[in-house]
Amino acid sequence: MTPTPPDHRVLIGMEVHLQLRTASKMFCGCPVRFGAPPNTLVCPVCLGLPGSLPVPNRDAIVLALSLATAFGCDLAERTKFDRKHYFYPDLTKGYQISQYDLPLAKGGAIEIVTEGGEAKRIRLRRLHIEEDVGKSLHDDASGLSRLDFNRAGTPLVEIVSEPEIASPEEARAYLNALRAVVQYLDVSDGNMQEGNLRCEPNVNLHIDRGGRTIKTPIIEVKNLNSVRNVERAMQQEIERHLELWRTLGDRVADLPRGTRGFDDVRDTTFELREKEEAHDYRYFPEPDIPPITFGATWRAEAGARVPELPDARRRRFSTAYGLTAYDADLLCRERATADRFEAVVAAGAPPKPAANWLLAGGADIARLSPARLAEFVNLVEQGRVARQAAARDLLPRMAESDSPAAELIAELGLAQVEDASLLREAARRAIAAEPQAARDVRDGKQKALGALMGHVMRQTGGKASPQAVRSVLLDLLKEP
Amino acid sequence: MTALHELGAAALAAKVRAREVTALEVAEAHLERAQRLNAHLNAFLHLDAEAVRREARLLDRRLAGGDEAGPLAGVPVAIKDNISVAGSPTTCASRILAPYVAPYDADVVERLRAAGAIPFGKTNLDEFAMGSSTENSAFGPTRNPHDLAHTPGGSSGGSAAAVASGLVPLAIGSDTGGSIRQPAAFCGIVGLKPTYGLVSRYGLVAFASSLDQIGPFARNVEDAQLLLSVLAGHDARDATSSPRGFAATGGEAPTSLSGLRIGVPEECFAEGLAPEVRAAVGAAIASLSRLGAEIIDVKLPLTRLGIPVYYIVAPSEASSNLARYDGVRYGLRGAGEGVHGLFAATRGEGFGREVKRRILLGTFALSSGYYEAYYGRAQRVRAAMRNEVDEVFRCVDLLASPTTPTVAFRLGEKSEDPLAMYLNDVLTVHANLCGVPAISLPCGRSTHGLPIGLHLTGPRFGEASLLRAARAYEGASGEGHRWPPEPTS
Repeated sequence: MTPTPPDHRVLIGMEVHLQLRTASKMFCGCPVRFGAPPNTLVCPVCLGLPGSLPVPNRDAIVLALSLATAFGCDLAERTKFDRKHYFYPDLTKGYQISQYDLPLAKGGAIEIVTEGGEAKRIRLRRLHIEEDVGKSLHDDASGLSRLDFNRAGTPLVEIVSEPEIASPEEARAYLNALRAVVQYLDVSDGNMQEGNLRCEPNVNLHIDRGGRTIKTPIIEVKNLNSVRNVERAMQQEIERHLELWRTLGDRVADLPRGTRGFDDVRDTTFELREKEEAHDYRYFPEPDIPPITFGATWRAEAGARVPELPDARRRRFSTAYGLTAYDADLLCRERATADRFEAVVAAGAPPKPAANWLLAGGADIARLSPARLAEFVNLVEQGRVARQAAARDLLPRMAESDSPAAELIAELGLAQVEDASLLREAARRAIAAEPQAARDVRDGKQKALGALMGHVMRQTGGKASPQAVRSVLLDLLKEP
Repeated sequence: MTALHELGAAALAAKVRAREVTALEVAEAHLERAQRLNAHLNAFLHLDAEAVRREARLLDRRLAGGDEAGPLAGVPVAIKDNISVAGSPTTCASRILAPYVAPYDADVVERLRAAGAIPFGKTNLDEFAMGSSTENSAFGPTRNPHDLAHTPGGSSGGSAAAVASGLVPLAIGSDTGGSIRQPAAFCGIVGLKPTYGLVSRYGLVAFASSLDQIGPFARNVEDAQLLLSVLAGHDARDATSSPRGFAATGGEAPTSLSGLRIGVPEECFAEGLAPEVRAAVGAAIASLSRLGAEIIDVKLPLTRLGIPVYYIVAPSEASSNLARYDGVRYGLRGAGEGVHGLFAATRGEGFGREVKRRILLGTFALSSGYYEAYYGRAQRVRAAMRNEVDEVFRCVDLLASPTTPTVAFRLGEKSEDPLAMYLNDVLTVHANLCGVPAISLPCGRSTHGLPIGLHLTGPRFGEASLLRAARAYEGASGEGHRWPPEPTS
């Protein structure tokens, strides 16, 4: 753990780039797909050939608007695209089509839960649309660089937060919360490994010293390919900033801003080569695309795409179904799980056991339809089949057969032994076989009952209901 | 009998449709002439005779098979070399694109093919359409067919010279600040810049995106109208393309313009206008008046800001549009150390002086800290200019003025003085900045025998009344295209 020096605050701002899952690219009709052979998903427009023109993808704008609506952003009345200029081989036009002074949306917030368990709103600064660039593949052996433009023109949403994230743990929570909303809206895969969610956090410390605040330089960290690495990189940066302060004292405030990368093998950040001159992107309004005014139609279309969001759903699961906060949270992390839970309950299963079975997971459960799963949960709850036997034998059978579960129970011989005389017979045999245990129970040592129960269960091949066995044993032992 | 190359487009298409002549015969007649005269004019940068014949034969087979003949059946149309034709070089008269072959057809080229036209070679221009004389071509200047020592104007000088000397009956060009109308005036033919958005820019290599429009060249107004009706129409690939189309209304030239109000902006007759031009345009306006048009003096004070605004907006957009030429994906690749060395070498070797000058101007104007003072301010003045002209079009239907302050100047006369060259656009940039349509048509000649252009401007999407007035003037005045002397070697 970081040794805490006197009074400092961590300020982390997050810049997230999210690839939207649209059928086609942002400004042309090429498909958006990961993993196709290089340069097979390209056309004159995304290659930036002379004479080609961009036409904005309406679906991408609706997806981005729905995301902005979910975050509670203020949607722009009027928006436009701008050109951001720089030279790089994977940039096909010498500029990226982005948005500068009239972003799609401003404001809004992402709600997280802090380590202390408190809800906290991280405010958003802006959300805008831009196009992705191609990929440079550097081959160190040959010294050659290869370019793949399949990704060029993929729609991206950039989400910029205020620097209100106060710890590496909060940074992780922020990204998880953002990803949950993204998944709920089904606007992106949100996968950091595949690069369809990329984040560049910036971090610095405010150190309070005798009424003054010393600010360490703002550092942006790049090359982060997992939420875990974001958290680690932030920990390393905080450590490094504190060390800088210990060495330099107040002069730490004079250090320039910088950009660092993260080495996840050595668990350390390293300085990225700074460009010699500050970038002047020479933004100006994209003359090929007229400004867009968002009327009621756009807003309604975007709003209709926003489902009940994770926070609200968690709260509803607790109150409406009586689930623990923990279970509600687990169920709501992925929209598909929460949807499935509600479908199983709608099919007649009692909520709590349904939640338990779903969270227990397993391939067989995943293969059952909600109605089948409800049927299963009900049989177990009614005591028609023992829990263990149900999980071990009945589930796989149900997954491969359409026959009613009751028939399968019979077919597998799993029906609970409910015949009272049979149970009494088995219980008598158990008491006879374990006289010491029987004596102990009679003397009030309840623990000894286990040995007797085990004996009965073995005789019935596990098909007896534990409750029934227990009550029969206790009845018999009360007899003189 | 009239030689095929002397016929206009409408007449040629009629003959091909009537099967009086084959598309191949039309093509051969023009190929013979183009191959013979291009040595003097340098109007064509590329002319693939076999490709032309192939297209003509294909059309002939289709017509023989009973396919419906389009409005431009068998008509050769030359294409400015900044417009993409699949499989053809599209160099923009620049070294940087010398090795580039376009893999796709521009929207206008698709429309030409669908109308039965035969794409006929790629014509010379000022590099990336930046210039007013075609002298900025990396492949040598085009010459004015009326006097080979003079420029044909620019930037679409190749297209204008080719049409004027009968190498083709029709050509298309692009007009960013006068690049169709000024060479049309200098070469004594008809050239029209349509309303911004009427013709798709898809496939036109961008110079200044908010100003560029593709338009027709022809030797008479009817042909220009015919070609425009083929070029115009909505294109989903151009987000600035208008849903409005343009339908040609053929028939006889109108003999009366009664009820038409024509404004004459005093700012367009200011000092610097050559006396011969002033006299010829004055006579043309008198002729319009005799046709029944009401002539009204109007004021457009912001016109005087046209050149400064244009020379901020156009280079700014150009500096951005030309950023893609980096030697990485296509075109020339210079030899330099590392990625930035490659960019610098490619652009250093690939671009000519005028293009570099404009990239520098535009890069400066868009720089952080200067944007508001230059580009932002220029756009505000531009908006005011639009309002001003909209206001004037409440009182008049069209505007009449000269196309250029002088007739065609001599080759080399202004090439060392960029500012003098820029001032040549003083009367034409206004239509681009305001997005309105304008046409130049012949209205007389100088004592030296060089053509003079009458410039008519209409409100946005006012092409029909613009063309109607132009046809009436052409019919009544007897002015029009004159055949230049045959060059002798």
